[in-house]
Amino acid sequence: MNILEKLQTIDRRILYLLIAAVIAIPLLQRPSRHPRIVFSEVKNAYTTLSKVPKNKIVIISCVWGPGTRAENEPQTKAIIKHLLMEDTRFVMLSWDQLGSQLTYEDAVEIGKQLGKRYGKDWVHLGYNPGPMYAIIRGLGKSFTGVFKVDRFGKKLKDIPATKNVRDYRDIGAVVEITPSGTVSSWIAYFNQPYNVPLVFCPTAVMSAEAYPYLDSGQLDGMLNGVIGAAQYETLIGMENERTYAAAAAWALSCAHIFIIVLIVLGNLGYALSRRSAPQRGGGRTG
Amino acid sequence: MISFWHWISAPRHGWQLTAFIFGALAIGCGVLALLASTTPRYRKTLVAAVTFLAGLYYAIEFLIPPSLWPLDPPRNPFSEVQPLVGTLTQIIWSFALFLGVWNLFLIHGRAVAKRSRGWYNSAAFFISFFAIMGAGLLKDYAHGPVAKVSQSVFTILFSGFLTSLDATMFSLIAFYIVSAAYRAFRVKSLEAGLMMAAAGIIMLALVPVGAEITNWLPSTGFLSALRVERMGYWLLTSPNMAAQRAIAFGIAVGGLAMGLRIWLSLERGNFFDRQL
Amino acid sequence: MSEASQYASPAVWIVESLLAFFILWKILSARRGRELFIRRIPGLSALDEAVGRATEMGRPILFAPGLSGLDIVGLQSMAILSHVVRKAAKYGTRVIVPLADPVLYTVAEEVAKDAYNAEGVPEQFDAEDIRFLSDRQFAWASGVVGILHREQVASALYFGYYFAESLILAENGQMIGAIQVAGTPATTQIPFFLASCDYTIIGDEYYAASAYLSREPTLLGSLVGQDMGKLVIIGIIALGSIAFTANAIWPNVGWLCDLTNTIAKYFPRS
Repeated sequence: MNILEKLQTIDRRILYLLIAAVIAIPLLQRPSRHPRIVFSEVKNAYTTLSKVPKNKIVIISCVWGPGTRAENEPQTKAIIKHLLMEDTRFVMLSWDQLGSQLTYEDAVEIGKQLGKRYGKDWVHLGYNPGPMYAIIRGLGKSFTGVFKVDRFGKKLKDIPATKNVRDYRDIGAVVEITPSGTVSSWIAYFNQPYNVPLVFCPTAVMSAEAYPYLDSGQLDGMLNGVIGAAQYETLIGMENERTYAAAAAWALSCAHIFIIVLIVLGNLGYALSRRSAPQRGGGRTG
Repeated sequence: MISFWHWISAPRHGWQLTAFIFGALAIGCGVLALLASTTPRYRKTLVAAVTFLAGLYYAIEFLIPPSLWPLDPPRNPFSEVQPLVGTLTQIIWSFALFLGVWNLFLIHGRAVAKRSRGWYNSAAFFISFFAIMGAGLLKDYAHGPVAKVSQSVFTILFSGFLTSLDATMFSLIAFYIVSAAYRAFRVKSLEAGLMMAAAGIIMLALVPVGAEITNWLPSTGFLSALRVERMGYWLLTSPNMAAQRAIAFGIAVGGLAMGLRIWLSLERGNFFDRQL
Repeated sequence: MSEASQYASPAVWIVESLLAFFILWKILSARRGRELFIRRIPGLSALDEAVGRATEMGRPILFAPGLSGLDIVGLQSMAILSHVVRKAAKYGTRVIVPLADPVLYTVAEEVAKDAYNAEGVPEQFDAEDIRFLSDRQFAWASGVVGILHREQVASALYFGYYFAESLILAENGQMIGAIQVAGTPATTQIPFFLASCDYTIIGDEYYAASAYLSREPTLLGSLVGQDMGKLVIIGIIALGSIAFTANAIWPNVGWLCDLTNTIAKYFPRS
């Protein structure tokens, strides 16, 4: 097998070993340097949440679970920290059984760091089985009509943070943190009808779909994946801290370079082998 | 009508709650029995009627604004029961949770009973199901050392096994992306070359190292457009956005058409044409 | 923001009425016997090839409806499943259907049973081949990967709603050399399917699938009505783009200002 063929047929086990090393090294080293550039959609998300009036709450809607924890958890933590630093009350709800526990633990951890109290500064509504469209449509009309108790079974009207929340007029913003395409339900049934700002925190692969909504103004900001979380941490004053988001941003950088190099190598081998061999039939395209 | 809905949806406690639960179950069974006793000829008509009425609620609630209702003050009465409808839908969806568990029990129970191929995997399902359920309940409702041990067991099973396994499966994608990109991304035509160039720019634009590569270019003026983050941003907010919008419109119209067909019982196919 | 925005605006009324009108009109005219043309969709034509390959190799077909529940995406997936099972039943080829939704599982079981009955081979239906694996995304994906490798499927068909697990399934299908056809309305997963599958159907071709495969007049009529609806939307976009661009170039033209104001009134920006 000559070098041209070898370039196109590197054993996938070698590739897997290399990518594992490329990603693991920055994650283990934990560089503290955050991304230098902050995207405009991340800045808009920050501005939107900073402007929420203190007499209103923010709903943090978490659709993520352990599978996408690596991308969505840094976003969740950055948003929670920002809101607690601004003394903005928030209510978390989870649409994933496992994610419910994870999001609660995240809020407890950050609340403890900043001296904030459950019930007074934030509330967790626990796991909600759905369907999203019916619940979102209903909560705009009556928040406590749809959500009656928190995750511990305590009535929302007995909890200081939520006792005065009636409907959309008491909700200052919604943050949707999701690995799936659930933001359209919030846009259709909450943001558009009631004109409540909506910040979208998707995994990076979902973020490409959000640009039409950002352009039309239906989304007021976006954190694209863990990179967005790292940029958001820069905005909330964590730019010199050794966070997972910053380490992941550098791990992603190395991985992207590695993939680009592989693609170039593969295409180099392909282009050179085409010159030296007669053309075979191409693959099927659908 | 509205006051009836308010009465029926008011919170209940004690014997009233029990009565309402059993009453709802009895009415549900009665409706199912009625449906089963209907002649097959009329079953489809009944299903079509119920489907139409259910969809009609949402259509009327959204399409007709308060000003068109002959009520004083002007309001849409269907909107007032929206939270109730949301709660009812939640309850119905919650049954799906039990249905999922019931199905798993049936399938794996059959496999263990018949000692089918790989039955030990089904046995592992039962062991893990009852282990995490037991640990979860005991940690919240037991006291003393039992609660402590249950908490540790739950933490091992939940954080150690469940969340780690879920995250591991997702992490496999990183490896598969490498092998898929390496194998499949060949520049066989001009369009493929353009796609590759765009993909490369966006991959670099989204990560910190991309900004470092072109950091030497000025941040204002003509040459600033060649900074990788600017090029990536333009690609995402111009061609990508246009394409996403076009696809979204097509999908939305397709969804509307299918929704209309199902609502008006016009949908065809083996499932919809079958005898009930 | 006024209460009125919670309800349909005049623009929504106009556009939805037009779309619904075209769809219903074309459905009714197709039912009256009018012939309608639909272009070839290579990914759907490849379904027959996939069934044929599995039959030749004596290995089963895997049909995975993704994470769809009992919604329009899931029901569309069931329509395609019905077609695949009927084709496979003719040649005695097994079709394995792993599901992630318990409600859709019951529907899939009925669909498969009916398909075998319709082909006159009810004894070929094996309830064990319709499997509810888990409603957890990655638990379901790992179950499907296990099936792919253990059963050494010859053809893998992915039709439904997919998220991150799409690449996991497609790459594992690649590893075992299965012919793979995928279709999903989830646009973000299309690149992964394109990289790893032999055929991919994109966007609203997915919703055209049931019409394409069955050639049922109602479905064909609906498809043509959808295309006319898209023309309506294109027309509105073109009108708005031209009007606003012209108004920007010639801001003092009275009727242009009136036109752009009317468009802005009925199609306001958020």
